[in-house]
Amino acid sequence: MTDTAAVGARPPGLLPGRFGLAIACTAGIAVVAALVSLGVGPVGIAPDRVLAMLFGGVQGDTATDLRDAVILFDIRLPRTALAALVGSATAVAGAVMQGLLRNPLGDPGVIGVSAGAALAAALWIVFGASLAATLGGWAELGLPLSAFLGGLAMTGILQLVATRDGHTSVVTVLLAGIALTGFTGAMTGLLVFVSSDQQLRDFTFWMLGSLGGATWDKVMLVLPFAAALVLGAPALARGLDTLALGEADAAYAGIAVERTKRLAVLAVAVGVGGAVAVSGVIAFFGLTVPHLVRLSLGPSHRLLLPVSALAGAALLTVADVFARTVAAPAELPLGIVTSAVGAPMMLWLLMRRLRITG
Amino acid sequence: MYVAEDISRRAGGKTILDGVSLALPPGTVTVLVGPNGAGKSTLLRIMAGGLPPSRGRVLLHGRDLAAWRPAELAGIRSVLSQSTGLAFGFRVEDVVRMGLPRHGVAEPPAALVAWGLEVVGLADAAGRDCTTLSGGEQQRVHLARVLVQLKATPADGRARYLFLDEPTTGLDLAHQLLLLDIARRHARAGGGVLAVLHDLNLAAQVADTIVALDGGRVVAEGTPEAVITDRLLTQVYGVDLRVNQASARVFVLPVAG
Repeated sequence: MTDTAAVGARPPGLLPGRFGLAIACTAGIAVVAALVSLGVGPVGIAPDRVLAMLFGGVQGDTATDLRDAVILFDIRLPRTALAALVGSATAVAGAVMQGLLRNPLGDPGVIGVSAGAALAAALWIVFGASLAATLGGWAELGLPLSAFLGGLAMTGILQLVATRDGHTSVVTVLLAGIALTGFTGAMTGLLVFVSSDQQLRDFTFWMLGSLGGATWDKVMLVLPFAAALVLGAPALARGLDTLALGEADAAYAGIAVERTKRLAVLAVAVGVGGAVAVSGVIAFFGLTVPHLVRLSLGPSHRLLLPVSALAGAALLTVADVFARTVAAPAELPLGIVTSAVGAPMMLWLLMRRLRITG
Repeated sequence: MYVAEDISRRAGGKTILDGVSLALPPGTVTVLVGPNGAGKSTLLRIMAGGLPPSRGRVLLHGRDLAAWRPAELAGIRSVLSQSTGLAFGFRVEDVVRMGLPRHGVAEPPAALVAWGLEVVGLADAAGRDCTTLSGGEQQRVHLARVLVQLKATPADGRARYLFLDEPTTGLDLAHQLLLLDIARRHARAGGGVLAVLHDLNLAAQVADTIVALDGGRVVAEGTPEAVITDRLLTQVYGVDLRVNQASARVFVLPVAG
């Protein structure tokens, strides 16, 4: 046979060479980004000292050594871990959403899913306290679970509004998303306005996103959500790939379309809910990362989902370093940084698609 | 055996199909013809399991189509749609690979994909971005995909069915003939074919049985010679044309050679 056979000789789904290389490269970038994030700030810590402390505990016993250790373990490490987890969850949720909508413009932050999660989280903070007593040990999970349910409800509403005869209209999703984002944003604003709750004072936290005030508690809060999404999403890869043909043809090809769609909606809500509960709405990030991965590795979800997880961790860590150093000692809301990069990218994508389709 | 029993479909207050029954015997090519809006594609979609009938049922090997799992059904019935979009720039061979089942592939996947592309004459395009191909070429990629889908499941003695919804749209003459040849070969090998065709000449060339639909009802059914008549052309299509006969096949003007 011709070289067709040679090209096709890789087993499906494994692609050992390309898959391994892509994972290793992005993982390497993520590690470097983490080292930068751990070292950079009002007090600089050299990478070798960061590594020495990470693997050997406090180095030396001077006041400076102790201060560096506190900064590293109590401030920068939780913040970096939070950036990585939120970045992974947001990027994978974006990739899944785009596969579900069969459109690279799907982003939970743009179409109102994140805003719905933020509203639900704000509702929990204002009214959940009375429930918390009855929930006992589960009270801790109230915030992320509310955000998850808010994201789930919003994705469900979008699907319902935009699906006719098994066909999801992307234009309707985007337009409905605008309406829902405006509505939920207004409601969140109203809550913040009438609330005296300390945690809700900062409206910008919910609507523009921030990793400020990162604690190990927050890390532990988002960890199960991010882990469930990142580890579970690859099971959807084949279904999402085949959905690119359209729902009817995916079903003819043997995909359980309704089940795939339900699981994808659930996955998006898990990722967005977990991320929004600890960081607010970080817009356009879920659009940018999968798009960059697709540009370099192609659209196959087998690669796209795991690589987006790693690239999302790396890029949000970098974006956060930028957000907290560029205007130091003040801190930019992280969502401003991601939007400044992501919004032009969305415009560029729109223009490119218009050129293709005329 | 693939049987539709008394199928009706209503949508938006309009009757699209009205009590249609149809059997697809293995080893034959059945072609649906009829004017626009006759219900041809709707019947094909209902028989393929892509659309539920409002009344009636479709039986495949004696079991109601609704009771089949999608993956199981995909192993013995594949569908080439009128136009299949592609949301992202997958490579040609990745698109063909979408026809493979998750488990239990009969032959090495790479060999199956290469075979499919060979059959449709696109062996050289395996690594290309599918969305950069012409409409006709993309249609051939999807043809390769649905052929691979049927070949991928290990033979179990049950007939495989190929559904083609206006498959010649966008294809040049040579590839229209290639497609008809593929359909005929599939039937000769013991499979069943159901195709919607607009071109009565192509239909007469490829069909064992032609079923003419009009207004959601079967108005004629039988061999090409029995169905494609002057009466069909005037009463169903409303055109004043004569049917001609050449080398044991009927044809409608104009025809070359």
